[in-house]
Amino acid sequence: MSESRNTSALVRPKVKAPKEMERGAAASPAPGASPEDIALVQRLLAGEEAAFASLVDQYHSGLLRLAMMFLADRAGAEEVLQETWVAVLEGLSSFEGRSSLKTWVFGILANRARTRAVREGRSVPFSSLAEAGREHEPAVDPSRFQPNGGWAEPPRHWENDTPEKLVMRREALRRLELAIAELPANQRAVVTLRDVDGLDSKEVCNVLEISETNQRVLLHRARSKLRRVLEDCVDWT
Amino acid sequence: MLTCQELTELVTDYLEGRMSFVKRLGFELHLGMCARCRAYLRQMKMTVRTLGKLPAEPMPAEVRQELLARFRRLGRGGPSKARGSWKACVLSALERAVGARRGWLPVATILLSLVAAVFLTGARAGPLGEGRVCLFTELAGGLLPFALVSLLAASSRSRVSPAAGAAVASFGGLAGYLLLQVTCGLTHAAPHVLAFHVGGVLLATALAAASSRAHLLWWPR
Repeated sequence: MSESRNTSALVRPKVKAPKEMERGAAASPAPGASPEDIALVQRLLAGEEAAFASLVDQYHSGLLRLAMMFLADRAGAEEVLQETWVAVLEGLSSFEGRSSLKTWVFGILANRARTRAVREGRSVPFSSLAEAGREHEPAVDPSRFQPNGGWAEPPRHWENDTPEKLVMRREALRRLELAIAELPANQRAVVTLRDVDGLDSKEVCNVLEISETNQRVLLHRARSKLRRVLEDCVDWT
Repeated sequence: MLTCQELTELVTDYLEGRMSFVKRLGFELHLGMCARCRAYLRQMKMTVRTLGKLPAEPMPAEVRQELLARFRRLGRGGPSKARGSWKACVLSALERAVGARRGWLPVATILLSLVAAVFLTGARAGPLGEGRVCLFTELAGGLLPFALVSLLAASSRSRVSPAAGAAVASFGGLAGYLLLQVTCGLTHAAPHVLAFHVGGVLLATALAAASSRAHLLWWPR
C-alpha cells in the first residue's frame, strides 16, 4: 500500500492538467488515459494474466532502453525494470488516468532509475543539458548550400521507399540503429522516447525532467542526424 | 525571406507546432515555392515514421516468464495485495477508508458505537427501547439495498460511486420511514421521530456514502 502511494506521489504532480498545456502544442495531444488504457487497467485489477502479458510485451523493450540511458550497466537497468513492474502492479489501483498509462509507467521507471543513478554517484545526463545545447550543430552539412542559403546539392527523392521497406532492409536498419547508439545521450533519450516509443513532447519533458525548448532542440538535432543517415541508405533508383 | 538553409533549422519547430503565425506563414510560403525544401520536409517526416517502425528488441523468454509468475504471486494485482485472510482484508479496507477520506471514519465510528450502545444496554422501555426497533428498520431499509447494489456492481467489476451509494441508501431509508409511519406507535412524538426515524435515514445514507467512497464493499476477484 505505502509502496503504491510512493510511486504515484512521485509521478502524479508532474502530469499537468490539459488546461495548463502550453499554447500551440498542436503536435502533442493532451495527456490523459484513453478508454483503452482504462479498460486495460480494469483487466489488470481483475487479475487477467493476458492483459499483463500484453502490457509487458508492449512496453518492456522501451522501458529497458530508457533505463539504460540512466544506468550504463545492463544488470542495474534490468533490476530497475523489475522493480518498476512490481511498482506498477502494486500502484495500479491508484492510477487515476490523469496521464496515459504509458507515461505513468515510463515515469515510474524514470524516477527509480534516476534515484538509483544518483545513489550510485552517476551523473544523470539529462539534467545538465542547458549548456550542452548551446554550440551550433547544423541540421544539414553547410557544404550542401550555396553562399546565398539555397540548396547546392538538394535532397534526393525518397519516394520509392516507405518506412516499412526501409526497416526490412538489414543494412539500413543496422546503420540506423548504430547512428542512434552514437547520438549524445540526451539526444538519444529524446528521440527514442518521442519517435521510437511514441510519447508526446509533454510526456518526454516530464519523464526526462527537461524544458520544452530543450526537448525541441535535442529532438531537432537527433532527427536531423538520423535523416542524414537514412539519406545514405535510401534506394533512389 | 527565409533561405533553404534556414528552413532546415526550423523544420522541427514547424512539425512540433511551435511557430508564431507570421513565422509559419513565411515557412509555408517558402515550401509552396521550393520543391527541394518540400522534399526535405518529407524526408524528415519519413525519418520520424521509420523510427516508429524499428523492431523491438525481443524480451528473453525467462524474463517474461518470471514477470508473469510474479503477477500471479502478487495475488492478481488488486488494490489490496494481501488478500489471504479476512484480517488483512479488513485492515486494508480500513486503510483505504482513512486514506480516501479521513473525515468519514471517525464520524461513522461514533455513530456506530451510539447504535451499538442502544442495542447493548438492552433497554426495553423508555425512549431508547422504543427507538431501537425504528433505528434498526431504517438502517436495514437503507443499507440492504445498498449492499445489494454494491455486490451487483462488484460482480460486473465496477464500483458504486459515493453519490449513487448515498442515493440508493436514502431511497431505502425513505421506504423504511414510510413503513414506520404505519407500524410505529410513537409518530406523534417529535423527538422520537427526529432521533430515530429521520436520524436513521441520515445514518444509513452517511454509512453508504462512506463505505462506497472507501470501496469497503468492493473485492476484485
